[in-house]
Amino acid sequence: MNDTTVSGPMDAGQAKALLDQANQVGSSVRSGASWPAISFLLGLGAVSSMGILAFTYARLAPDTSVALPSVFMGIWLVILMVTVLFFTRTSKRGFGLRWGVYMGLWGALWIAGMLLSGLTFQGELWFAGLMAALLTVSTTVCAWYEARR
Amino acid sequence: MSTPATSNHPRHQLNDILGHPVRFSLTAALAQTEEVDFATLRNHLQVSDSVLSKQATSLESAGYVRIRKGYIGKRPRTWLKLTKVGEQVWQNHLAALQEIAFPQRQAND
Repeated sequence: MNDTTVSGPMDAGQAKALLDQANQVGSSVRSGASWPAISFLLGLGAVSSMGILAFTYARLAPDTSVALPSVFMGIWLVILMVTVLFFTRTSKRGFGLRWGVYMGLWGALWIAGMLLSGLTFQGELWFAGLMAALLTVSTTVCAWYEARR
Repeated sequence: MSTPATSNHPRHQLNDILGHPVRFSLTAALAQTEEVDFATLRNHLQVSDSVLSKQATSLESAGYVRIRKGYIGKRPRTWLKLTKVGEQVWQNHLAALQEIAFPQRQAND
């Protein structure tokens, strides 16, 4: 690490060097901070959109259980959560609030999709397709937004 | 006749605690993030564990940094975060540095 400590009165050049150093350190720590969260969001979008379609297809096909897609969906969710938990070492400013918004949006769509496809639109493939599209778009937008922060 | 020393020179607004190079860089890193773990900071600042620990504790004692210890699985992990006071002090410190670095710009503002 560069030692930019100054003794005596500080001049403009030293102040500029310190400001540059502050920017450099800040950028360095932030770089690559979001990849676990971005991976999680994209993975969550893929798993949940495919899951909602799999559940609907399973309902349409006689003698087909939703157990297998449910198990694999659960496995993937665990993998994604462990990835975030183990590999997140830095979080960008305001990430806690943004994460709450991302998860709230996904959770609302997932619950609406599961409830409505199980009650009101049971076996309706168009509805499952619509919810899968909404889940895909919302999680992708959230992931890309986080990537640009 | 010599010009009298004025106490409102921006250098008087600089925070002494942040004058130390490791504390300065540590605060600069935390100011750009919500929370950073100890090992990441150590790697980015290129200092030893003991140096970082000592300076982080010093900033914690001043009320500028919050240190949180936890576990990921069975592995201990330490997280550091700038407090509200720390953020304010850092912003003031940066503003003073800006004034020193660009006195003309400050005068025009």
